[in-house]
Amino acid sequence: MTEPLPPEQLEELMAGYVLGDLSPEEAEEFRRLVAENPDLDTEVNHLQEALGLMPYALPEVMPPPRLRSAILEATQATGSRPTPKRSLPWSRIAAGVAVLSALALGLDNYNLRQDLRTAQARMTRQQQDLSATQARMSKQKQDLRTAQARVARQQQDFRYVRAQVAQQKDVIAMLQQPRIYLVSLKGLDPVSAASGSFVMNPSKPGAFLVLQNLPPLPADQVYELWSIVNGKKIAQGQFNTSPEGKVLVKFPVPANAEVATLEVTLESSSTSPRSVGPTVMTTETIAEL
Amino acid sequence: MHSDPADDRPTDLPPQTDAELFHALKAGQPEALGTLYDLYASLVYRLALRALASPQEAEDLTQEIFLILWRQGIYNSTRGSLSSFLTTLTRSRAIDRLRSRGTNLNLTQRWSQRMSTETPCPTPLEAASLTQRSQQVRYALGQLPENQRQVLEMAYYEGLSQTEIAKQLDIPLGTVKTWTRQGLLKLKQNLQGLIG
Repeated sequence: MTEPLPPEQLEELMAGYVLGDLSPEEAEEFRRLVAENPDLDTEVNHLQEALGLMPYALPEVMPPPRLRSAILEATQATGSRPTPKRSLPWSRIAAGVAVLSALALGLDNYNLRQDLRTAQARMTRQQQDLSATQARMSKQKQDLRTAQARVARQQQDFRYVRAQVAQQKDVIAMLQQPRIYLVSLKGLDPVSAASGSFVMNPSKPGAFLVLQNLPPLPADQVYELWSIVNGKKIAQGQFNTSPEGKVLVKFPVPANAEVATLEVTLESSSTSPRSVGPTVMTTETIAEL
Repeated sequence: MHSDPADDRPTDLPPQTDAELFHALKAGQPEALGTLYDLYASLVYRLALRALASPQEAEDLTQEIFLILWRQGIYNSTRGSLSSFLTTLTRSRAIDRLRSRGTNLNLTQRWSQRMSTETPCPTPLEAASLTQRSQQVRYALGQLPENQRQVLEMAYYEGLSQTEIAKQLDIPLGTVKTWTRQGLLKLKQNLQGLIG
């Protein structure tokens, strides 16, 4: 036997048991005590009775008279009790299961109805979405065609830019040489805003014409670069400007070519370089860097 | 025994104990259920009404309880009184309903709804003993310190856990535990005459 519990603590345990508020440890101790002392059962029953009497203290109200007849009718409806049952826990369990099943079925039906409504609403919404999607798709096809055209254009642009960059790299490479010549050019009326340079490295072939603010020309016109040696104009090549009015063109000038005054003329693209049009740019300075 | 003209029960029933009535009930005699209803419907109904705070739900539950008694016959007289069995069953079902309802009305709401639905109680012949018993229990409860009575009622009628009570009243859990247990022990002491 373990040490007997003080009566007050034992009572508290029993009250806690009846109230259903025993902690797991207390419940364990209580089980042990009841096993050791079955008489405790009577005392627990008394506490249970006392608790069960509490509703008597509530204000005295009667249910409406119709309830009595309703209950007695319900017993008639089901006939007399089929087989008097003993107080088997099974009947309680079965009743519990029946109630639960009914609840579950009811709940199922309710849930199914809810699901159906939800599904219908979802279908309507999806149909709307479909029409919207179709409309969007046809628009997207148009957009796609536009985009494809834009991509093609951008690819052209890209090739152009890449070519430009390659040339700029050439220019930079040339500018990094120890000895270069720079022929600076300025625009004449009506393209007086135009300016730029012709850059050459005497030790290497090739030279660059770099200009800005030179207006782009219609398809039937072209710019022509001339060098003037001993009073004679020598055609160096034709060029055009970018839409922004910029020029970066490499000319096949031989190495050790003489550095001379330059001119830019405006020519008809159909004519030969011999026929000279109006001069639009002339040499401003020639410098050795 | 007196007859009750306001009632369609078979008249001149011999005085019966709860155990005898229950025995007759188990033998399939609906009159026994009628008699038990007259004895305990008020008790079951007032408890249901107090717990559920809805006359309709209290009626439903009262019907459920008496039909359980009729159909399942699960009362065991060696385990305690029929009234105690009925209140225990009613309380447990009421708490199930409260739980499934998911929303607990607060105490004030319950109180005001209960007050507003009270009706006079035209009791049959056993009313005297019912009323007497009610007075005894009311007195016994009234002897408890206010805080003990309050936590006991919250636990009993509303099925609130100790933790829920501690939270609602803003007092330590240990205090709630002590008050409830002491309250029940004192109540049992005060009700000696009605128990055992």
